[in-house]
Parts: sequence; C-alpha cells; structure tokens
Amino acid sequence: MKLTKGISHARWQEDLSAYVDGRLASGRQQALGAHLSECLLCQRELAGLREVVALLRRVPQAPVPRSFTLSQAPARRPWWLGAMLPLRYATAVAAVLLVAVITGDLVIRSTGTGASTLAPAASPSPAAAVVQDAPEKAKGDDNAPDALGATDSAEAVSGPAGFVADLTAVNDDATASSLAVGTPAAGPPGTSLTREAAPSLPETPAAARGPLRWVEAGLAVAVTLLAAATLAQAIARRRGTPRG
Amino acid sequence: MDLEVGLVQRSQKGDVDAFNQLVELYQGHVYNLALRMLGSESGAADAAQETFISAFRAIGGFRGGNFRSWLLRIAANACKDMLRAARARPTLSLEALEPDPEATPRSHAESPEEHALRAELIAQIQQGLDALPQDQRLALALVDIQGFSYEDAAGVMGTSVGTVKSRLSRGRARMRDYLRNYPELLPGQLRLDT
Repeated sequence: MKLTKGISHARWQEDLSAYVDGRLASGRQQALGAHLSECLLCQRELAGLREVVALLRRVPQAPVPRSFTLSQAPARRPWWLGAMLPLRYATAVAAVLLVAVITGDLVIRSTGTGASTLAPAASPSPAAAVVQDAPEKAKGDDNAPDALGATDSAEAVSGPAGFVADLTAVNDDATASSLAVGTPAAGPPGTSLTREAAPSLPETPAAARGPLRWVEAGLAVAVTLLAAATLAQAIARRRGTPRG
Repeated sequence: MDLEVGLVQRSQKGDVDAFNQLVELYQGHVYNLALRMLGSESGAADAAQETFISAFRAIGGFRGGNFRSWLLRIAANACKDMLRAARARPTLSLEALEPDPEATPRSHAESPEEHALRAELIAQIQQGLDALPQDQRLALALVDIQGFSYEDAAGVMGTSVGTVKSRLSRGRARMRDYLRNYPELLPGQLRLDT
C-alpha cells in the first residue's frame, strides 16, 4: 500500500468517484491527481469507475408509456386515513397488553390453584356459601346435579372432590346434616371436606383476578374495535385511491 | 421558471389543468426515476401515477424552492413504498416488478443486432442497480442516469451533498464489481479488468 501525505490508499479510492465528477475540493483534487500519476492500482480503479459512469449515462430515457395527467382532481384524503399508522400501533400495543394480562392471569390462576390445595380453610368463602345453599334448592329435585353444576365458582374452589361430596350431600340428608355440622363424611379421601373446611383461594390472587378479568375484557374489546377500524381503513384506502 | 411558479400557484388553488401542465413537464423524469428504482415498466407507471396523485394532494404544502426535486422526492418515496410492499407480498411483487426486455427504445441508427446487444447491456445494468441498496440505487439513478447535480440529488434524497458523494462512491464501486461478471457485454477497461 502506497501512502501519500498520510492519506491511506483506501481513502484515495473513496475519493475516486468524486474525482470523476470533479467534485473534490481543489487541493484534494490536485493531491489525488499527483497520487494517480504514480499509482497504477488507482489508475485502474479510476478507469473502471469512469467506464461505469459512462455506461450509466448511456442508459436511455424511456418514453412514458402513457400520459399521467389527472382527469379530475383526486378526492382529498379523508382525515382519518392519516390516522392509519397510529391506529396500527395502537392495535399492536393493545394486543400486546392483552396477551400480557392474560398471561398474568394464567400465572395467578395457576399459583392460586396450587395454593388452594395446600392452604388450610379458615373461613367459608362466598363460593362455599353457594355450595351450602345448593343442596337446599336441590332437595327432591331430579336435576340436582345440574343445579350444583351451575355453581362454577364453587366447583372451581372445591374441585372435583368437593363436587363428589356435594352430590353425596344431595342424595343423603343425613350426610348433608353431618356436612352441615362439620362432621367428616364417609367416602374416598378428598371427599370428606366440610363446607366450613372447603378450601378457598388465597386472598391476594382472588382479589387480583377480579380486576384482571375486567382489564382483559376491556382490552379484548379495545383490540377488536381497533383491529376492525384498521381493517375498515385499509379497505377504504384501497377502494378510495383515485386514478387520474 | 416563472411559468412553473405560476402553474404551481394555480395548482395550489385546485386548478387541475395547471397541475396537468406540470405533469407533462415532469412525467418523463418521474417515470424514468421509477423505472430505474423498480426495474419494471408497469411498476414504474403505477408509481408515477401515484406520485402525481400524491403531489396534487400535497401541493398546498409546497413552500417554494425546487419543484422538480420536491416532485421526485415524492416519486422516490412512492417507489420505496412499492418495494416495501413487494417485499411484504413476494408472490405478487415478482410478477408486477419483472423487468421488461422490450423496455429499451430502439434507435433508428442501430441494427437489430446492436439494439439487442444494447438492450442486454441495459438489462444487466438494471440488474446491477436492483442489487444495490435503495439509497445507492437512487443516487446513481439521479446523478448518473438522470444527470442531476449533487445538490439537486441531495434535495431529492433529503440528505447532504457529502452523503450523496458517499452513496455514489459505494454504488459505483458495486456496479463496477457487478458488471465485471459480464465482460462480453462491456467495452474497454471493465473487460480488461476481469
């Protein structure tokens, strides 16, 4: 590599393009000219560049295939079409938030379920109260399992084992009484839960899940509306683009 | 220039006839820039039409200066949008942006063989342009093909003269390397260098 006045050979080559167009500063143009007089490599590079430029300048201007004049004034773009990009970003942000909230809810739910199986029942939960009422309503009713089955939250709290216990209560008044006073009922392990002893979710996850569901629902509605608006805009934009 | 200023002012008041006179003045520049950026006649025609529609809508915001540069900046953006859309929908874009071998106009002075050779050379140049990054392609299309000054090219590209120089330098070097792969089409030094 040949150096001239501290300028690297690579730097000279960067200047060759501007040198072809005579667009280097005068001092630099002269310095590069002096370098070129003694550097065969740069001479070849320069010749190659000149040839490229000559080829590109020979590319003909193509005739226009048709006139691009406008037959009428294009309709003004509706203001809301200008909101296309912000709307897309808003939809994406809402969708990401929705996924995050659902994920958080699932995490809390799984944590809460795990805790409920381990946590000792201290007091009856509202769900347990629902379970408590159910046998009364279900007495003498052939559709008792349905009546009980409708108490989803109760089932979620007590789980399948609790549900079996409730069925037992429906079919056996004595057992129901014993359950009511907290006597352990006969049956497989896990079915001997009293209503008072029915496990309830820890307070914190349960308290957090309520608002989370509202947030989830709100975000789901927002995502749906935003996505619908974005789609409507895209369709309107495609249909509304006038041609001259 | 006075005529152009008058046409722009009338266009800003919504005069389509005045705007159409501007279209006729500049449609060749716009179409050819789009042709070199996109490499296809049909794509270039779509981009040119989109450019003039957008320009009419936006002309109220034109605050003077070089109208041609302003218009070609809109054209360059329209081409970039189309290239972006083509990347997003490759199955549609391949057909729409396919180079047209008949795009090279034939000179009366040249024989059919010469025309075929020149058309092939131009097709190779276009492929070389297509292989460049968009900004370098735009610089070569403006300065080397359309003959813009560095300053005007900088105005179209919305950048500095120094950046134009740099993009030109890199783009030309890449083109030189690309064209060395086709020595049979090239005259002179490029063929000797291979």
